[in-house]
Amino acid sequence: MAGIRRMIGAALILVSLVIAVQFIAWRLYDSGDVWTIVNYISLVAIALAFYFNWERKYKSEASGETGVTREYIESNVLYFSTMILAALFLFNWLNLLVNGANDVGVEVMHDVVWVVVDIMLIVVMGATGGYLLQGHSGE
Amino acid sequence: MAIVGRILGAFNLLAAAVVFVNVLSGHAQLWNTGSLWDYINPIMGTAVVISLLVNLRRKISLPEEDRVSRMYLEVNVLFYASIILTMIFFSNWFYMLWDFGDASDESRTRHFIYWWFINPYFILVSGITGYHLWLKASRS
Repeated sequence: MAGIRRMIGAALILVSLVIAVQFIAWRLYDSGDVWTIVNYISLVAIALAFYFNWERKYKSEASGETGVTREYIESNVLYFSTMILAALFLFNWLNLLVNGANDVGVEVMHDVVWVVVDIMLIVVMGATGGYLLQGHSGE
Repeated sequence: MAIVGRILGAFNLLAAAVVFVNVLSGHAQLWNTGSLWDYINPIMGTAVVISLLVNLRRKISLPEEDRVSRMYLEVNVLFYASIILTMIFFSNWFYMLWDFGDASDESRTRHFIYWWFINPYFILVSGITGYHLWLKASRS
């Protein structure tokens, strides 16, 4: 199980790096199809991050520690960040699937939300992947 | 090593000061700041990369313990702030370099709004990182 967690951690860091490169350099090449693929990868990555960050928070609370520790801060920040990220991503992605890229009148709002989603993806996937890659079991 | 830290710290502090002055001058319309940004953006890019690397190094060298210290909070806040700054700065700067000429008015307005966020954010991150580097070099 530890090996699988490390592999998932490495995969999440890879997702974070791919999105970082794509976010900065997407104007340098024809990136329309790349974003389509990245969105599906992001969906899977968010689901994985949500599970592992929920598990980490659950185990942190079950430990009975009442003081403010690093584990308490990190598990809570990552868990709630993943929740916000999931909500914003699904809001924008479902709109893109239903209405297309030109949702008249609210394009600006969706563009700004994509900027927030992409930056959150880079940070949350990097931090979650780093935690899993270091071999933490959350116990 | 201390002299390198002092030079990098001075560079980041100076970059933060230059952006601060140019932002204020732009608001006060003291002179045409538009063309100056073409020279300031590469300086900002260098300071952003320095901030990211310095804060990554500080995060990696944090002692492994469960205690929450001031240093732990400061290092983590600066590290993640540097990542966010790097992403949004380079994304917007590349837009200015490659897409600005062909962009719609709406797109240009949106990216100008991003600059209003990036500039004060840069002043804080670059200024604090530069101050930390300068202080550390002075103590060693």
